[in-house]
Amino acid sequence: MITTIARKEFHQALLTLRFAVGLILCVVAVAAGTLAMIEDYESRRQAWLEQVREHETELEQEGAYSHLVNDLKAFREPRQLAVLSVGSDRWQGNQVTVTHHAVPVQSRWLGTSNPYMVLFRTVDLSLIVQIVLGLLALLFAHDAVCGERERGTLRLMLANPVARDQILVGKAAGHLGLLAVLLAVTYVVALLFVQASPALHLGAGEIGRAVLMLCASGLYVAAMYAVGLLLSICTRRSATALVLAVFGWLLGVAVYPNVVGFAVDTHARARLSVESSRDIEGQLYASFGEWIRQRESEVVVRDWSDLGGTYSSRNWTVPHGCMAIGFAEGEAESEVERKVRQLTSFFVEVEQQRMAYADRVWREAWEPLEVGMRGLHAVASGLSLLSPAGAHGQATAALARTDRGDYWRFLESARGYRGQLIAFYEQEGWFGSREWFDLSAKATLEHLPRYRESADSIGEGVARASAPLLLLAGFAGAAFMTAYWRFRRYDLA
Amino acid sequence: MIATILRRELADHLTSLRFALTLLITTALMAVNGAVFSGPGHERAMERYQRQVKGAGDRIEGLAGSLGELAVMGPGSLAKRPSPLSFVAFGREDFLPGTIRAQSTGSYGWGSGFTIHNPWILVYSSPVAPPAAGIVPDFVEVDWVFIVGFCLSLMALLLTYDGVCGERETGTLKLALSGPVPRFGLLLGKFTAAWVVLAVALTLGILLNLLILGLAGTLALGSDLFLRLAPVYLACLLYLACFVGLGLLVSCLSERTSSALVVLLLVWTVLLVLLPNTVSGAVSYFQEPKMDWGNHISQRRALTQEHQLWGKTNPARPGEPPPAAFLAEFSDFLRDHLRLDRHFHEEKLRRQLRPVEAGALVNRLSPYGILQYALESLAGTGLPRHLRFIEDARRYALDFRRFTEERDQADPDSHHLFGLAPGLSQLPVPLEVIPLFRERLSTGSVLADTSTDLALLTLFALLAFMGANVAFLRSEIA
Repeated sequence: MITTIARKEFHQALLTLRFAVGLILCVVAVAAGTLAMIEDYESRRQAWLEQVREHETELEQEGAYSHLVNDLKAFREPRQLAVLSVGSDRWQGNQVTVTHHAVPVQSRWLGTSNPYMVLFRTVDLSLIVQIVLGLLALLFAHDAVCGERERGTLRLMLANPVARDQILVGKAAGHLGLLAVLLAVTYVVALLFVQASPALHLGAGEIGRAVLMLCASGLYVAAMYAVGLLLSICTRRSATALVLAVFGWLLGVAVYPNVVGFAVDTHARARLSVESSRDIEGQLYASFGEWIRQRESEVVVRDWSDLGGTYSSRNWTVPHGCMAIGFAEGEAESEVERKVRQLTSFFVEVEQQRMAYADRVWREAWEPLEVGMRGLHAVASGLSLLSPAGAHGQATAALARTDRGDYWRFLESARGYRGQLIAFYEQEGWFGSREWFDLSAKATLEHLPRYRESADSIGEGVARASAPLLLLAGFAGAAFMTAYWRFRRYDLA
Repeated sequence: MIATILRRELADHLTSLRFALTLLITTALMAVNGAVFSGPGHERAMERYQRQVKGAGDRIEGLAGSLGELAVMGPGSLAKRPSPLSFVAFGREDFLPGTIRAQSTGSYGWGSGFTIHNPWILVYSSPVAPPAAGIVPDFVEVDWVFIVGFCLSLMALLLTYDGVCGERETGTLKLALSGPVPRFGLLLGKFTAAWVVLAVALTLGILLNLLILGLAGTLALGSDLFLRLAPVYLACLLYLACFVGLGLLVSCLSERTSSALVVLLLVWTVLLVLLPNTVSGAVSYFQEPKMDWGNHISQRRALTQEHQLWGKTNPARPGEPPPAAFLAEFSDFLRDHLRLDRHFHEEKLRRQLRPVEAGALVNRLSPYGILQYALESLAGTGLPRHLRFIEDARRYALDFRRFTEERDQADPDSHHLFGLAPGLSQLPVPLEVIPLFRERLSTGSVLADTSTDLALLTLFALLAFMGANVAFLRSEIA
């Protein structure tokens, strides 16, 4: 019996104006939106490629090791699935410098070939699902019960030997089936555009993620449908249900997530002060400068000018400074050797101290800032989970690896890379080598470890998406159960 | 008779659920807007601005001892005054650069104590993400543009979608038309009633918003403020009229109320979500390749070679100024250098801004785009303000250069050699005559900029209403 009802509802809904309009809107919106997103992705990818290339040439031109280690960078490749769910990918920096004398902190490089394009917003597949399919689900559901009651067909149907719950389940199954078709069409159109674009090559892993995103969207649509059904049962007139449904959609999909984002962002801007972190950093580095000047006068030759060459002491007392010394031509071999010995032992000590200061700067200046940011992010995402649209957005972004969690993962792996580099320098004895400061040296890049982004498994994305997904499922289930319960005691008159 | 219809419609609307919801969402969002913007954000931005202005002033004071120095080093960085009306339209102000540098950056040492500075030009920095960006995923700021443009427009559609076809369904339309009221009068009554109801909600919301901001001390309530807010209010009303007209138009055209709403939601989504958000893809046609910095550097190097400057040494004894003939060769080089540099930076900015301006134009196909642009322009934020800021900076740069040249011409002791402090007048410049950077923020010029947008909105509203009228006249009341 359920299947008969479901089939009837499916066919009936298929022939409605709302379905036709919804289908056209979905296809057009996804086509236009995905094209714009691909454009945006290509621009960011282009900028990323340029930066990586520039970085390579820069490294090849380096002389002394102490110069080289200043310029090593870690890049975060723009995520391909950002074309489906952009998350925070357009806003977070994509590049950090990784040196032994500074722990990588957040970057602000926007990574697009035309930064002014931030003035335009984009609409991705995830947002289209939230807006269009969410609305459509509500439109299908709002008169499912009260509309039939108004027309009197509900009574007719119940005169037959069907249970009330069968009617409700059948209706929901029919409508959700149609919505699922629509959802699948939307995703397929988007993926067709993605596959047709020369800049994007989705691998098997990415396709798997896209399929998971489709499931998340399915849950979202089901949740919205269940809410609509509940509205339909709780109101007497379908016109009232419609007004409430559209209003609820406006509130839940368009207003609430933006209000949360706006409030938290403004709060963050007022509370998180990069300036104060920078002040602390400045003070610490100033004391490091003190230390090094003192050491310099104690340990090394007093008259630095006899080293000749291009040495300038300002160069290396500044925190990010490095040192390069050219030895004067014609200097006696033994004299040079003596200076080199003196300098190498000095630098081993200096670099150790530099690293210790870097860790202190991280702990005292930047880590609190990042902790604050993480806290605010947790608040914002927790609050936006209250709306199914917010939960859906978070789930798809986590699956597409474009959420904030992925960015922090990037920073953490950049910090891991720093550890790796330091281990390498120490193992190779770079700090204690003449090449560290000698201008005539040529840095060899062969064995130098490079930053590699570790591919995170789908499991990790699912883990980050699990909370919003569970919440969506719970939301849909709860709304549906309430509707079911209310419908059993529904007054037909 | 029209008055009766108007009164009846008004009474209907004011007691309806939709009006309650409209009022609820407007006041709630306006309260959120007021609460959030009454934070210390603007104050801090003003402090930063004052600091920048003071820094630039101090810098000029330090250079004023010699006209040559001032002419070579330039006026320093030019700061954009933060707008006190950012709650009206936020316009991504926190991404846009707040300063334009107009100072010499970098110098070449030429041996024996002789240094030349890169001639100062306007250097435009690119937008960067503010520190807190990305903590929350992309969102739309809850400013007036969002509240009116997004929420109230939808409420306008909800108020009007069944205005005609709903009455036709219930049969009351026939009854109303049997009276001595012409169809036009009936439609005008419906239009005006819905518009007035929306205006009531909007006005209450705005008053609440201003009250919160005023109480928090963020906003100095003065005549200038009202002079600026009046056109903002007008733009909002015209914008809402567009949607009231649109709602009635579709209501006249459709048979059933539910299909009217579906069509309206479709149109609304296209105008408000689809069109503004896919513009960035559409303007990619205007995207030109980025200026190549490496190429610029090699051009600079070629220029030094062309002028055969390598190997030149300063013939003057230490402590003496370099002779004029020696300086003249460098002055020619610096003039070319300036041209090269200026071309690079201006071209870079032009290439960046061209697609953005095209996009802003395309955006104005939708009333939402028009409202956004008009409100940003009036509030002094976003792209329209940034374009004005750049224009002001350019004008100031011309003024400043003319000022230094004129003063230099007036000094008989000067060699009049461009770009070199020793080649120019050494006289001190009195501080009060040095031109300072001021943005032209007068309400008059801003209003002139916005008049096109206001006219466009009026046109949209009239078109929608006339369309509704024609559709209503031709419709059958079965």
